[in-house]
Amino acid sequence: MSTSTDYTGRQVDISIFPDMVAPGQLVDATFSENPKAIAGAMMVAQNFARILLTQYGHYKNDPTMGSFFFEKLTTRNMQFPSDLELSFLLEKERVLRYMNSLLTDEVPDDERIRSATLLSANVSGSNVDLTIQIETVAGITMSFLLPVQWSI
Amino acid sequence: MANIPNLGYLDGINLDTSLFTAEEIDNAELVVQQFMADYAPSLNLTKGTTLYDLLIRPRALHAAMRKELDDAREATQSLQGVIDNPALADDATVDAILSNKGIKRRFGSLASGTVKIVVSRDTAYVISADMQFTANNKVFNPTGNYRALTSPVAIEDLQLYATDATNTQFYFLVPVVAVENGVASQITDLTGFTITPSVPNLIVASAFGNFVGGAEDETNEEFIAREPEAMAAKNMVSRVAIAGALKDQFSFVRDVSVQGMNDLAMSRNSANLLSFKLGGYADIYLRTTQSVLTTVLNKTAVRQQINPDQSATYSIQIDTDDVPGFYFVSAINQAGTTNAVSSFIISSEIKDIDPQDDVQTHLLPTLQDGVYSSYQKATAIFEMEYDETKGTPEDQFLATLSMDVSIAYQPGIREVQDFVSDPNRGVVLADYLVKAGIPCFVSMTSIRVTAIEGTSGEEIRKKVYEYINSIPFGGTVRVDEIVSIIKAFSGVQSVDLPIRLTGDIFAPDGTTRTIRSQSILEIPSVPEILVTPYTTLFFAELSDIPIAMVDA
Repeated sequence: MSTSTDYTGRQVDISIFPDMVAPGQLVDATFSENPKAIAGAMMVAQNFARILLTQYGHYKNDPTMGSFFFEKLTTRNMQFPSDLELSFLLEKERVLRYMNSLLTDEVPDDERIRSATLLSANVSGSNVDLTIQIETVAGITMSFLLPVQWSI
Repeated sequence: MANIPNLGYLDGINLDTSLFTAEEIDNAELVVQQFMADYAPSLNLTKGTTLYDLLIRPRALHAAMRKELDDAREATQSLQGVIDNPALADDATVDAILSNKGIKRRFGSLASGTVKIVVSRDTAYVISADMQFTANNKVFNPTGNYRALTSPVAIEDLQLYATDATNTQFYFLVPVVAVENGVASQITDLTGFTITPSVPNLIVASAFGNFVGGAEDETNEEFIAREPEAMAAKNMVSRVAIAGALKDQFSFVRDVSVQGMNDLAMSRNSANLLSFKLGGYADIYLRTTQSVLTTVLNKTAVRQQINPDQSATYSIQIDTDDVPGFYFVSAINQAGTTNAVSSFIISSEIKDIDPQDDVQTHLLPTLQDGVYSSYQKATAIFEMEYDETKGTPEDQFLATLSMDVSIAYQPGIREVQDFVSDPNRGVVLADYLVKAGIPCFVSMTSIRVTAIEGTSGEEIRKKVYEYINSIPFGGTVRVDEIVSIIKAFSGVQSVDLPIRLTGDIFAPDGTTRTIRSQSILEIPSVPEILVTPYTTLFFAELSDIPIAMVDA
C-alpha cells in the first residue's frame, strides 16, 4: 500500500529514508537519489532518527533540538552494551520532549510520537546497527534499522 | 547498508547565524514559512520536519542577510543615514555623498624626525632611501640616499661624529619620514629603532628628539561636521563664509576664528584720533596643524660684540619670508649639527613687523597687531661661550658664522594671507590679516593609571594628545574629559586625581602668561594683549603628557 493512498490530503514531508515504505516493516534507513513524500508514522520515525543524530545545540535559533547520542558513541563512553542502552534511554527522552513541544492541536494522532524503544544494537567493527521502534499516539508502531558509524 | 553520518551543523559550510539575534531569525523563519505555506500548502513545514530544516531554516537566514544588505544600502543613501549608522558607512560612500556638495575629504600627514645611529667603527656608511626604520610598529624611510662620512664631501653626505675622545663609538643623524599618515608615528625622543637591512657595526639606533607632523586622515564624523561651512557661500564676508572658503581652499586649515569690527581682540581698527572702531578690518586666526611644527633654517649669525667675560654675542635675522607667522626660535646650533636642543643660550628674541607686501599694505598700528602674521620678522640674540682650546676670542668668534636655526611655527600662514589678499577674490573694502592662533602650550602632572597588564600607555597618551590638539577656538581643556578618554580604554580600572594642568600662553606682546587648573583650563580674556579664547589655541606635545601605568 503506498503512502500517497493512505495519507491523501495530508501535509507531507520529504523522505530522506525512502525505504521506509510501510508501518511495522523492518526497513533500512538509507539515503536515496529519488526522495519521496511521507506522512504519518513514517514521517515521525524519520524525524525521530534525524533529531536523534543531530548534535544538540547546533542550531542557533533552536538550541534544544538534537541530542548527545551520536557524540557519546565512542569506544571510551561505550564499554559495555548497557552503556549504549543507557545512552539511548536518556537521549530518546530528550528527543521525545523536543518533538512533543512542537505539537499543535492540528497534528493527527498518527503523527504524535508516544515512545521510542531500542530493540537491538549490533556492533560490527566501526559500525553499530540500531534497531529502533517508535510508537505513535494512534498505536501505530514503526521499526527501522539505523546504521551508524561510531568513533574508535 | 549505508552509514548515516552525523547530521549536525557543519562549521564553515552553513550561513553565519551569529550575525542575527534569535528574534530576528524567528521573524525571518515566520516570513519564509508563511510564504512557502501559501506557495505549497500540501507541504508540512512545521518545525521539526525535514522540509523545515531543508527549506525554511536556510531560506530564512538568506532572507535575513538580504534584508540587512538592503537596509545598509538604503541607510547610506543619505547623509542622515550615514550619521545614524556610522558603522554602515564606509569612506567611499561618504566621499560619494559629500562630493555632491563639492566637498573633499582631508587627508592626514606624515610624521618626520631624526634617527641617531650609533656605530662602533669609523668608516663610511651608506643609507638608502628604501631602508626601513621601525619603532612602535611604525615604519619610516630615510628622506633620501645618504653617506655618513667623517669628512663629508657632497651636500647629501651626513657627518659621522665621534661620541667622545676615546674614539670607540661614533654616530650620525638620519632624517626619516613615516610611511603612513597618523599621529601614532610621532615617535618620542630616545625611542629605539630597528633598521632593515641592518647598518654594519650598529650599536643602537634611537629617535633624536620628538618626531612631529603626523596627523590622521579626516574621519567620516569630522568630514560630515564640516559640511555646513563648506556649503556656505564663499563670499569671504561672514564668519562662516570665511571659514568655509579657507577650509575648502586649503586642506591644512583645521580651525578658523575671525575677529571683526567690534570684537574684543580687534584693536588695530581703532587706531584713530577718537579711538572709534572702524569697519573694514578683520583678523583671521588659524589652526593649520595638530601640533606645532619645527623647521630648521641655515642663517648667518653676525657678531655683535665680544663681552668682557670673553663670551661673544651674535644676532640672527629672521625675515618675513623665512617662516611666515612663526612662534619662536627654539634652538640655535652650529650648521650641520642638527641638534634637537639649542647649543647656545638664546638671550632674547626681538620681534618687529613689516606691514607691506607685493599685494597689500596692512594697518598694523602696534607690534603686537602683526605678531604671528606673515608680516612678522625677528632678531634672535644668542651667546657663545669662550673655549680656551680654540685660541683667542678673536680667533674663535668670527665676524659671521653659519648657524642652523630651529623655528616653531604653524604652516600655511603666508599661503592663506595671499589668498585673502587676492584683489580678485578678497572683499574690496576690507583689510584682512591672517595670523597663526596664539599658542597656549599645555603640560600636566603625571597621570597615574591603574589598568590590567597589556593596556597600552602609549595609546592612552596619543588619545589625550589628540584631544588637546583638537580643541577649537573658544574651547577649554577639561580634566573630566581627559579622565573619560582614559577610562574609555577597556583595560583601565581607575585614574588618580588630581591632574594639574598648566598652560603657557605666548602672548603677542612678548610676555608669557601662565594659567593653571585642576578642572578646567580656560584661556583668559585679556584683549589689550589680544589674548582671548577666540584668538588662542591649545597645543600639547606627547612628551608633555606623562602617563604612569600601574598594573591592577
